[in-house]
Amino acid sequence: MIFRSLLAALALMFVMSTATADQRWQRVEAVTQALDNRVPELEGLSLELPLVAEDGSSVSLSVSFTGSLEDGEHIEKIRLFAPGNPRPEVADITLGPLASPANIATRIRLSETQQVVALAITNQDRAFLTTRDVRVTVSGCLVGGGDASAMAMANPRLALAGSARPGQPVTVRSLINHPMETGLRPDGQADDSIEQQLVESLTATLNDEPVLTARFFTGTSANPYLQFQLTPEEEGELKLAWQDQKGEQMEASQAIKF
Amino acid sequence: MTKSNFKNQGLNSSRRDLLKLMGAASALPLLGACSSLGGPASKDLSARVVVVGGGFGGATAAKYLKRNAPDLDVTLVEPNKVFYTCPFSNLVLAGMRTMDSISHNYNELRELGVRVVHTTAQDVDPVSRTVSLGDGSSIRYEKLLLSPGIDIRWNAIEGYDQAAAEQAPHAWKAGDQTRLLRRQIEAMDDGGVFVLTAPANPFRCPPGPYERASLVAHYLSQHKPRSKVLILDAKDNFSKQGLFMQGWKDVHGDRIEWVGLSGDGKVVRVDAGKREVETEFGTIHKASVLNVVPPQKAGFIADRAGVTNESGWVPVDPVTFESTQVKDIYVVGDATIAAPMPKSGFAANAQGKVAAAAIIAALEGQRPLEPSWANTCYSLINPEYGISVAAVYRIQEGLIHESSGGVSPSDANATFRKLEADYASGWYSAITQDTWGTRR
Ligand SMILES: Cc1cc2nc3c(=O)[nH]c(=O)nc-3n(C[C@H](O)[C@H](O)[C@H](O)COP(=O)(O)OP(=O)(O)OC[C@H]3O[C@@H](n4cnc5c(N)ncnc54)[C@H](O)[C@@H]3O)c2cc1C
Repeated sequence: MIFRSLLAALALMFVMSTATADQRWQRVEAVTQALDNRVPELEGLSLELPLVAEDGSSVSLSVSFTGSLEDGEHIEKIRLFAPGNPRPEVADITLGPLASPANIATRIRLSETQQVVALAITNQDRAFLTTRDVRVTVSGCLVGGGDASAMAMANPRLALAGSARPGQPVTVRSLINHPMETGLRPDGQADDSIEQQLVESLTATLNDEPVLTARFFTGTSANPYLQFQLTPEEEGELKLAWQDQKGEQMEASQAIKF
Repeated sequence: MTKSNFKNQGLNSSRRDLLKLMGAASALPLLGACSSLGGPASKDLSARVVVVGGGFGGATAAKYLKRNAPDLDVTLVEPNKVFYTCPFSNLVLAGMRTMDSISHNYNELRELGVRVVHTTAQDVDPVSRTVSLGDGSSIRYEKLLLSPGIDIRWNAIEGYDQAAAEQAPHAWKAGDQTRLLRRQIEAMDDGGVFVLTAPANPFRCPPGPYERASLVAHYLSQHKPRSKVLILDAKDNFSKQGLFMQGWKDVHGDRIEWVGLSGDGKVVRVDAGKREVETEFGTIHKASVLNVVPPQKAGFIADRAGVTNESGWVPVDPVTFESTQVKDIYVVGDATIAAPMPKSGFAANAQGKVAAAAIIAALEGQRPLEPSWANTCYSLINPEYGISVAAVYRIQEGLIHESSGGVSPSDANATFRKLEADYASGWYSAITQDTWGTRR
């Protein structure tokens, strides 16, 4: 009897430990807050990151939705978290119907080996979540350039990979030079002598219709990079506008021609 | 800021000790110590071990298997009769060395009693434990060791396939590709641009592209002084970056231009016929000589053996270098995931010894020794100016960690730089003699 209950207890412990290994995200406050009591589906969202990152200061990440959606349902938000960083937020992306299919690539900072979390929320309030473990062998010490004069945005870049066709997705790439000073030192503490200076947001519009808005945080790499899919219905002008924490703005634009 | 910058602050003295330990030839005894077996095997070790690949990892493993367990039946499968090393092939490109001086052979291994078969391993069946060979025969093993190096990911960059490599060489495996690139550099017009494209991590020899750019610039400065070198890089940070940049400024002025990832340095399309590349944001660069160092993966035989994971590289147990996916298959060298150890010849040689010792221990029914490794990578800015990165690696919590290390001081004088350039030749002689027994 005693033996059997011991076995049962052991089995239970085993189940619990495997469950917690996969559901570490449940203990991340930033993630549970973003979920706001929604119960996420664990299939449908796909997250790609290298298994081993040899330079944590710039790790390529791509996230795409591969599940199925109802009629009229689209992915409205994608949020990325690196819970092992001093601050877990990486990027928040709001997608309009033109930014479909939901397929985003960016470059992130990882200060240590950890599980990265991606969350997607649809306009019908369904949530999808997925995680990915990354081993980091050289930390992306979350330190910027430190040179205050270099803290301005420069060289906004925008390009289409391929040609645009009506109703067909085309890949849009964007990049702006900026050190993304986190204000944190290698120990993860804030240092009062260093001011946090980030590119705060990127807004994309097509003929002034909203396409996508991205918010960047300390977990976004220096020189924020964002790639997304645009499915244009008409020709026009694709405009990107970046804004930094000081309120400065920079723009880039690209003609969409069929 | 990179890790090495951090390390520089606190670890100068330990780095100095390390360099003393590693100064040229003395580097190898340090490795020998970590793979010592405590005398030759006593039990009857007649098992059959097959080694695939006669490069840095495989030739070393075959040698140390046979040397430490003479009764072992060791077969080495390697298609080439002459092996050209990638290390020092950049010197060939710059006309500082001949191909002959970087060639090695398998005579010593044969003399030791290793059966050397010059063919390609085509497939591995881990159930029947057989390797099928290019000549149609097959060979059974009790333990298999793979050190196949890298294969190119053809078409990972649009337009860069095997045919394109005949016009825009990679020269990332030494041999005909090295000769081809050398001929192109020699035939280049004065005033031309040598364009080198460098891949994202991980790839063979992290400082290799930057040493190549340095030595090509050195050649150009002497023979085609109006020419330039342009590096288009898919990374913002690279190995020994601070030292390279400083060395370029000191020695090459503005001959070498480097464009990193955030400056639109990532190449996404190659037109080898036109010697033209296009970057992520649509800039077109025209080259007189185009050298594409492309994205890579483990040699194909690793895939066939089922030891690679989705990354295209091979996860291994860091204590033994046995595959974590298939029993009795050991993998060393560039094909493995051993970060933070770099994909270097030095590391492949050290891993070959660790795996050889682990195989003998397993056949004897003993536990493997816990290994530690050292790695030094020298790079030349020109014949008189060497820089290095050195590190010691140990196992912590089942993973490889760098336990100490650093790079050459940034304020060293010309004598020091010259000394490091000399150490580089000493290193080359020592490691190739240890691996193939050839004197160069
Ligand atoms: C330009 C350049 C400079 C470099 N400089 C240095 C340096 O200064 N220091 C340093 O430490 N490292 C240097 N390296 C790195 C070094 O070349 C590699 O890390 C090293 O060769 C790795 O050893 P390996 O055994 O994994 O592969 P390799 O040495 O490439 O050996 C692989 C062997 O396997 C054989 N093979 C492959 N597939 C099969 C098959 N199916 N059947 C049979 N045989 C097969 C191949 O023919 C080859 O001979 C440099 C590399 C480059 C490109």
